[in-house]
Amino acid sequence: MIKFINLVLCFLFLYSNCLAQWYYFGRNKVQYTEFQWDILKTEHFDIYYHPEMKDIAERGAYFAEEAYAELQEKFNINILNKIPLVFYSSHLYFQQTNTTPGLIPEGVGGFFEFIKGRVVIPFDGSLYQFKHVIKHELIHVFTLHKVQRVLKDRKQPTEKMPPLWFTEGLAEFWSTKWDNQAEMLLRDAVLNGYIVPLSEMDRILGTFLMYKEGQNILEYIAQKYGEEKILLLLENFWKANSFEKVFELTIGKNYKQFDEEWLYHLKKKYYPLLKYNDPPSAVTKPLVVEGFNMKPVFYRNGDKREIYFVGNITGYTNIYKIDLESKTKPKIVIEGERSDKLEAFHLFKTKIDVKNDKLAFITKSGDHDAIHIYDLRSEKITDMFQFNSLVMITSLSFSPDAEKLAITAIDKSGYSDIYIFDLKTKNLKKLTNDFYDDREVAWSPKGDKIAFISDRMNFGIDGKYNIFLYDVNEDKIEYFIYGNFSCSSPSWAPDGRFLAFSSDIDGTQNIWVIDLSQKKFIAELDGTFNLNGYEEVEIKQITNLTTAAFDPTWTDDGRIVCVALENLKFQIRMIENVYEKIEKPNFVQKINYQTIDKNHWDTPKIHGIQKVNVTTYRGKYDLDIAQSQISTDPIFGTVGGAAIALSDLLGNERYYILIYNTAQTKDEILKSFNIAISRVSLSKRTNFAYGIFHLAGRRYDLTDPDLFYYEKAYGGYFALSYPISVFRRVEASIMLNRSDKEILFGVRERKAMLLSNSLSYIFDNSLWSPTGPIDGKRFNITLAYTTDIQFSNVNYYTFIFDYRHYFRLSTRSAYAVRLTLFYNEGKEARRWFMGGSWDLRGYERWSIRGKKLWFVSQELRFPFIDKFDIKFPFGGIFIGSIRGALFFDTGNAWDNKYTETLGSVGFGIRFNIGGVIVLRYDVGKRLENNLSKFQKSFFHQFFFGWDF
Amino acid sequence: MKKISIFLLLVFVSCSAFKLEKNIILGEFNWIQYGNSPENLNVSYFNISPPFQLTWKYNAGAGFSYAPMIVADGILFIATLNGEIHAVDIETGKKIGIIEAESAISATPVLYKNKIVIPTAHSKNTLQALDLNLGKVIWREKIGEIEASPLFIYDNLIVATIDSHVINYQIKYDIPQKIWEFKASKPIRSSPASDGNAIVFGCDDGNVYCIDFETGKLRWKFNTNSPIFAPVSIHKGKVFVGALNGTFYGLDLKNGDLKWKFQTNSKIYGGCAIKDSLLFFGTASGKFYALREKDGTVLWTFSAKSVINSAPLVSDNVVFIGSLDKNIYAIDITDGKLLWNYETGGRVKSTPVIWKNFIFVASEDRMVYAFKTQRSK
Repeated sequence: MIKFINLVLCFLFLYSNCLAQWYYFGRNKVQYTEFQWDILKTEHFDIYYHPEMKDIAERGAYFAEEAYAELQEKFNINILNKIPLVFYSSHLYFQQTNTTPGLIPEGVGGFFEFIKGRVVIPFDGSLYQFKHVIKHELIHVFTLHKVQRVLKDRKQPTEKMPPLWFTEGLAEFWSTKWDNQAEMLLRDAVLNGYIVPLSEMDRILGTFLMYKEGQNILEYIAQKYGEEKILLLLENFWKANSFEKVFELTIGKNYKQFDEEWLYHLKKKYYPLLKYNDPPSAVTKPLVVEGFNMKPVFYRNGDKREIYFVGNITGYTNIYKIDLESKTKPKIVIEGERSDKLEAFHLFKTKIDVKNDKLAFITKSGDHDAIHIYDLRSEKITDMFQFNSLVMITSLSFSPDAEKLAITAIDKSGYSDIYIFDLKTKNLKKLTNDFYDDREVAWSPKGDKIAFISDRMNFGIDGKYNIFLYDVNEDKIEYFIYGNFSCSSPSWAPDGRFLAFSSDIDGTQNIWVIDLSQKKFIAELDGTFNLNGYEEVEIKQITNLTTAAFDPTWTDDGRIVCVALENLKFQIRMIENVYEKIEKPNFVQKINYQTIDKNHWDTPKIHGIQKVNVTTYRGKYDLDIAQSQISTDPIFGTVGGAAIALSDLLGNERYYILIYNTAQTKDEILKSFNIAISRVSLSKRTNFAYGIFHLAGRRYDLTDPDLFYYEKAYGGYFALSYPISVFRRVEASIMLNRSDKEILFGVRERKAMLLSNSLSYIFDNSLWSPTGPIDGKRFNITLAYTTDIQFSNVNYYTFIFDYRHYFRLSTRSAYAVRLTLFYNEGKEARRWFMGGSWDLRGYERWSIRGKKLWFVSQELRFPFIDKFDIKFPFGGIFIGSIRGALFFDTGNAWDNKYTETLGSVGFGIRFNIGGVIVLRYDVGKRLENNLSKFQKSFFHQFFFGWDF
Repeated sequence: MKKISIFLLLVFVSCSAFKLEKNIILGEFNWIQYGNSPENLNVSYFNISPPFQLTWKYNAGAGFSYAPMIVADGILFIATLNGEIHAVDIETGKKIGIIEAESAISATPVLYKNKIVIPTAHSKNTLQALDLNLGKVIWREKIGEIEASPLFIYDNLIVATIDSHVINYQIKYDIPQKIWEFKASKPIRSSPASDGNAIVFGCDDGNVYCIDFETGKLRWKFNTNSPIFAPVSIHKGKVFVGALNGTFYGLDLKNGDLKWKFQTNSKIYGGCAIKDSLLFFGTASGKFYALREKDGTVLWTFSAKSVINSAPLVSDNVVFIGSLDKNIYAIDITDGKLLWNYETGGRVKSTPVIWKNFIFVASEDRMVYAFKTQRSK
């Protein structure tokens, strides 16, 4: 999966595993919204969109065709088939897509998947960003086609692809300009010594830093060696198996040689910054230095001066507070991302505000965002507001009396506008209504103005945001901070005299201040604002950091608290003596209001005016997987078969067909035919599946080693899964199964018409480290009943209770406990089994068997070795981190009579290889005789698998 | 050492697997090198025009470069990016044999006498000559990767390399004799052209170089500020070439002075064809231009549905151009009207060639399409 990410991903990547759905736990992708789909057909694209976003989709269609025309020239190739583009009008809708099976994190801005060649992109309110992401993803489409064509032309296998740093770097390089975020990160990486050489790029695989380093490397190559080299890296792709060799053939330098000159170039460019610019730690006071912290807001709470902020320090995003004077650790005010109502914070986007003992904040809650009001006195959430029309809420600000909220939000059409919400009357008033992107409201202390950022001025077409003022009394918008640069996070001083904001006027974000006691503003108040000479104002730069500072908030004693990046941490820091800095600023920029170009920008659209150009989507099925295989098994002999999977373009409806035969002789062919057909529907909130099967052949019952039998089973099933939220779901299934067993080496025969029912409740909010969960909890409670409705040969019930809780001890260590009870009771009840590295350690794998089973496991999980890097003359091995565990397991399984309690204690190490497999080694002693005696020697177990 | 010897033997044997039973008669009607002339004019000796009928298709088994075909004596030689040259009987469309080269053939081979010179893109010996009658490699040179088509003029072979060298070989005898060598500053992908006195080629460094045929000394260079991938053409004392910056240049062959330039706002990957006062070329936007050779005035344009990245071919009053939209187009050179087109099974990214009443089109579906005209002159 190819994806465009923003800063969030560099952090979320570390925890991406928490989003995977594992085993019978896992979080849920909830289809809250039932989308209708239309298709807009253009020359090179079939664009799937929901009708509410028609205007944005038509603009997207133009961007796509524009990008296509440019890219076919740059890549010197076209795409012969129409490219399916799937648009969503917001990220929350995008997260519901079935075009990819996994959960989509906040930071993913779109993706291109290989199987059906689909490009899936959400709109986030900014047309500039939309255009960028469309182009970024199309570059992936072109890269794939180009590489495959180069290889096919030379009859080479087409499985290989260039490395991720190149594909993502190229997608960034050719789709966007080097912006202030990229500059901030690279400066920080170079000056703090964590820039990763090209030769070691695997160390930061998939992170935001990798994207931006890749982009910078390609920019450097284009500048120094010529832009044609970028295309030639693809044209020459066939010349060697390793991309490094292709790189060397094209550029004339291997990675190491290239690193020498590229890193030297970066140092030469960024080290001189230290002469005039300051690292944040040199000129600001640290308040919170660990983690990723955003959107601080000051609040005078009686005698206390407090800062509230959104932060991710442990893996979950929370709202924290700190006392400015007491220097205590951040205290969690709101625990996020663990419950249905507070499902997710938009960490890098949404503002919070505090006034009159009320804390207002935004979270995802179900299908839409919600505003929550938290009472600081009672320490409870007192109100929660959601609006049918507003999908995402991106910022909020209290009116001076805290009775209203100014908000910016994205509606179903994708438009991002400003609203005022009256907390008493619950009245929502829309202030703007256009495709321009309005964000980050700040209500003035006097209550007459609302400052906000928007791309509605002429530079907005290039992705620039300026600050505007909405006049509450006169219902009009005024230009305020205007220029060919970007501004963000406006913040009023408590007395309303100053407005602080961040701006990238000098290339990276710094804190700037405008004084509203300047002549122009006084003249406006006097009603003489049209006099000559009063049209020019000054804005003053009060920080000049090597990296970046943003999200300023004023204290009540003339200080500013802001966020600054240092050493890849978004820290909350304090700027002292702000008034002195305003008197002696780093830089002064003048804004002349008479020179403002008030022409608004627009983008062309490709209309679906002809009926033929817009059609309603009806599922069209394509092949996803078609595999056939013949294999030989030492026990079952030769098995031949095929698996086929089909799904529609939106991935909502899927068919799975499995056919195989296990016959050993000609006579057995008909008898050993196995076929299963399933249909899975994911289009609605309640997911369901049904299917029929005929399975026949020799079986080996793992629960009973002596049992070798032939079984013919056929029947059908129906299963439902209803996600209550992303964390909880209820599952139910019913299956009718005619099962005829013949024991091969005996004379027994058993016929049964089995009717099985099951009902499960599953919860999972766990947070994962590289080798397994580290925080949160998950459990599965299942009740099932299986009965033979025809012959009464089988009749048993099942109870499963599997509970796992992870208590966080520090950022990277946890105490984990698992309580398990598996219970089967009745006629021909199946046996459970355990033993081995996955559960009761120290015992042979699956050697403990019984119809009833209990098991308790406790583990202390901690980091063992952070990096493990071995260099050989011919290469090296790099293992990210090795984690350790101390464990204590107890449990046993039995049929009718409980015998003894088994146990083990020991120590283990685990390491993750490539994010797909964890290898684990345990050493310890068994506890024998009802835990009364240690095993004499040590047991050693080496296996794979995630921590429980 | 033993292993190396066996390997070399295998290479040698594989190269000599092909043997032509007859002598190739080289005359003026053969298409023996890129552009069909040292000037790279891309004009056929034969005059054919639509309608055409598909006569046969030949599966060459791999993809093709921008100009993979040469013709002589009723035999079509098709070079592939898989490192093979297929010899095909034009009348029947049947394979005569396959010559295996060491690597992908990204440029046009050269036929002289009964020998074929094969340039390859990535191998040890990137230039080798094979005697078609003996079925034997008679010489090979290690001169670095070759993507520009070698130029054959008099008894000389001018070869430009990715290593930025231009080498003049005298190939009159079985052992090539290096006459001179010129070094540019960057790789050369642009096929050189010559009027018999000067050799002109473009370079990745953005320069058009003109060197003296006799001495190999630089006569002049003209900077376009953009890499040049497209082959160069020479006509009536002028040099014509397009660059990746989208500008097509007309330069004075004598001194490199700019005579005219024409901005297309699109990348130019392919060469041009010139007939009399008309000059034709296509761009990556899919636009195809007919300019007045004298002053660069646009006479007409034609739009394909996708990228044009190879040179056109002119026969009589018809210009042929392939496009990545899978079509081969036949256009009236007088007014730009489409006379005929055919959609092949893949992208067309190479220049067709003509032999008598046949036109051959190589497509990305690995097929060479042979069309026969019903009206030959």
